[in-house]
Amino acid sequence: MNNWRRSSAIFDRRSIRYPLARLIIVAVLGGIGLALLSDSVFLLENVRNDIRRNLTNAANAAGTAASAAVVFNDAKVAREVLRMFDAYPEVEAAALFTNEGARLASFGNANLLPRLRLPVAMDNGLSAPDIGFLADTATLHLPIEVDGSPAGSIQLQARLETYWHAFLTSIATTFLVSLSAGLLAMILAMRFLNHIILPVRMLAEAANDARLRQDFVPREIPIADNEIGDLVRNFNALLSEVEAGRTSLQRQHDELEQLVAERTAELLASKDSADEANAAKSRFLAAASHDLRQPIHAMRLFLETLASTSLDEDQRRITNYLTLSTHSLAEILNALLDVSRLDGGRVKPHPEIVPADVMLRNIEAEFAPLALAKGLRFKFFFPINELMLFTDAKLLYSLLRNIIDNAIKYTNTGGVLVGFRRRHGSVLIQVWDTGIGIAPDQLDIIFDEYFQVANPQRDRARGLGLGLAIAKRLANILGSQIRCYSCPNKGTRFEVSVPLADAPEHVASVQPVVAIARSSSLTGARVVVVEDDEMAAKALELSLGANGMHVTTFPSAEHALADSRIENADFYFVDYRLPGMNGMQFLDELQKRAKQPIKATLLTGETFHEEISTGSSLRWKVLFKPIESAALMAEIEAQCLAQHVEGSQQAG
Amino acid sequence: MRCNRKPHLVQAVLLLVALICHFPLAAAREMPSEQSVRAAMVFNFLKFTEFPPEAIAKSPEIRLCMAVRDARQAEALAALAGRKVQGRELIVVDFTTQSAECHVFYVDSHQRWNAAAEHLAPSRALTISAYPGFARDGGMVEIAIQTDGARFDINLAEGRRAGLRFSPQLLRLARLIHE
Repeated sequence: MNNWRRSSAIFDRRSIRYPLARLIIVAVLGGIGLALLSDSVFLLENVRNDIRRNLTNAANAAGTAASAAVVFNDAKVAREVLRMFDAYPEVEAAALFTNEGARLASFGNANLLPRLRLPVAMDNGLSAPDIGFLADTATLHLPIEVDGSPAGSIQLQARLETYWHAFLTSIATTFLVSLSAGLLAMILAMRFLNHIILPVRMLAEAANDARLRQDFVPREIPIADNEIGDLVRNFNALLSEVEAGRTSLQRQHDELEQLVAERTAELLASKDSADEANAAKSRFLAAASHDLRQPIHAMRLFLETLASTSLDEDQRRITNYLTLSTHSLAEILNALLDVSRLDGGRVKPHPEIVPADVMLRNIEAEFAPLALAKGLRFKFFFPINELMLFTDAKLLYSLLRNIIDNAIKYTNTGGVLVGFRRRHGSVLIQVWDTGIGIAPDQLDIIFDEYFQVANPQRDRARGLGLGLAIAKRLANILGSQIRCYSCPNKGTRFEVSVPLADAPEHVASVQPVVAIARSSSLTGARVVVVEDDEMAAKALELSLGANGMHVTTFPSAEHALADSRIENADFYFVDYRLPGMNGMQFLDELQKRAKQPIKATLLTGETFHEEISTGSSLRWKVLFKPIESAALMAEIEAQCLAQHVEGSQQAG
Repeated sequence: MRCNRKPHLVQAVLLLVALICHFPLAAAREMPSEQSVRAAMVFNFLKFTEFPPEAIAKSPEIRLCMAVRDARQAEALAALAGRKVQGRELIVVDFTTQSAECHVFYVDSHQRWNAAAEHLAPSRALTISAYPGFARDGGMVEIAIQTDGARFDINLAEGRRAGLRFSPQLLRLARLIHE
């Protein structure tokens, strides 16, 4: 197997053997070629010189021997002289000529000789015949001189095959010898390469093995004391260091894990205590707000009652200031409670299909008078086709209220535009204003609590600075986010994206938050109030009494149930949080006793909607304190009207 | 037009043949005389004969002395005068008993050879003649004109005695060599 791999490595193009073998083959072939070329050139010249020399020597010898015969024109002797060429097998024809060009004697087949050309060149035999490569024959024509003057000439033709045979044999020998030497060199080189390639391959396999098995123990690789040996030794040293490093790293990792576990435990403990603290804060805030709402609620009802009595001018002015202050206080409290409620994560969206035009009508009803009062234009942009949103109507309306309120607040000239645009399966709601704008470096912090543009002195007339903070939280709950684009002194654009509903089913109607009190006669109606807070109960009593209603108050549900006056009342205002039985339980009990559905509303200063929006609470309308007098009247009127409609339907 | 060409070509060839035949062939016109053949042979012998250095050292030329009665022969030999042999100029003179300095001596008869032989002995000249029996008479080269060509005999012993050396190529041509 190993041997097979070794031998196949020559043909393996990836192995270093392949290019080396190619290199050696090229070098050997090149060497052979060069050797053959130089040998051929050299040998060819030698062969040609040999031919010339031999032929010239033979011709000279014969010419000298025959010189007297030529001079004395003795053909017989001349023939005898030429017969010496019997000893030269390569000479196939020869002839002697007199000075006049007459042939004196010939040898062999004289017809083979070319025609004589006179005069013969007198250059001492240097008139070498032009011998072509592998030519069959060569012809030589030499003058015969006697006493320095020409006496005749000799012509000779020889076959050259013996010379060429020797030449080719020599070349072939050179080729074979070179080839043998080249093959030997190649075999030796390949054998030598084993000393490099095998350790390198083992090294590569060892490295791969170490990587795959994560085993960094030094490997046993046979090595020599050379550069490859150094490589293997260094590789093993590297493995040792890697192993040491890994061990150290593992130790550090373990320590780190332990440290992380400890820190995590500490953090979890910290988080638990922070959660606990947060919950405590929320509980405190809820309790405090409840307790704050009651007196504010009472204050507002007292003030409204006071304002309806006959007062002199100074008293009326002071009462107006007091009313304004109370309004502010209630507003601050409501905003703070909104933030706390939204941060608590207790508000969950209940998406439904909402028609955009209903939303717009409500916005118009609420903000058009405000804009008008500031001398601003208040416009809408929306598509002609009906646009259906899929969102929590109340939360979205609250969000838009905050943004539009802000826009009107910060715009002194120009106007505010509210636009609804269809965008890729959603509705992009935009609020444009031509207000003071927001500097680019402040765009990120406008959503922080109590940040107000251009109001570092916290001018209360410009609001609380909680509007955008609440809007941002509402957007998060709705699964969207508010984007703001602004140009200082030019205006601002707020955008929020709301999913688009496909079908116009179950359209929820968004009722205006500010109920408009209707002028109808509730005079003489009997109203029962159950309120444990004495001040709040008194304020409610005064407020309702001022509208001509007969009010009976009870400090607790138990007191009320024990009294026969509670039966057949026209309306019930019940505080949710009562000592003993709570407001909801009280109303449920009361409903059981009553022969027909009773008209009642729960009043609460609680911040946690879900506490009172579970179970039987769905049956009872809830109003959150503080509540204005007009809202109380509207509530009574609405429920009476509803019953009247139901009654007339049943009668019909 | 093409049909009319042939007669013109034939006429041209016939005219050319007639012109060539009008002139006699060169070989037929100049057949060399016997005297001139002898003279040429004398000159050729000089090419293949090596004189002893002391014999020619004193003289810048080679002197050919002739003792001939035939005027045509004398004329043919005299025609050799001025030609170069062995790097020296050939001078042709009539032999007299006074003119002892001869390198080559040509004689045409037994009588004149006998008369001159004793005068020639000290000069160690190459002696040549064409009369039959010259070699037996102590001459060195005896020319014999035959029907198949010119031949010669060489008296090698006489030559050695005079210190002359005949080239082997020359000796190979000799009809008879007297040792």
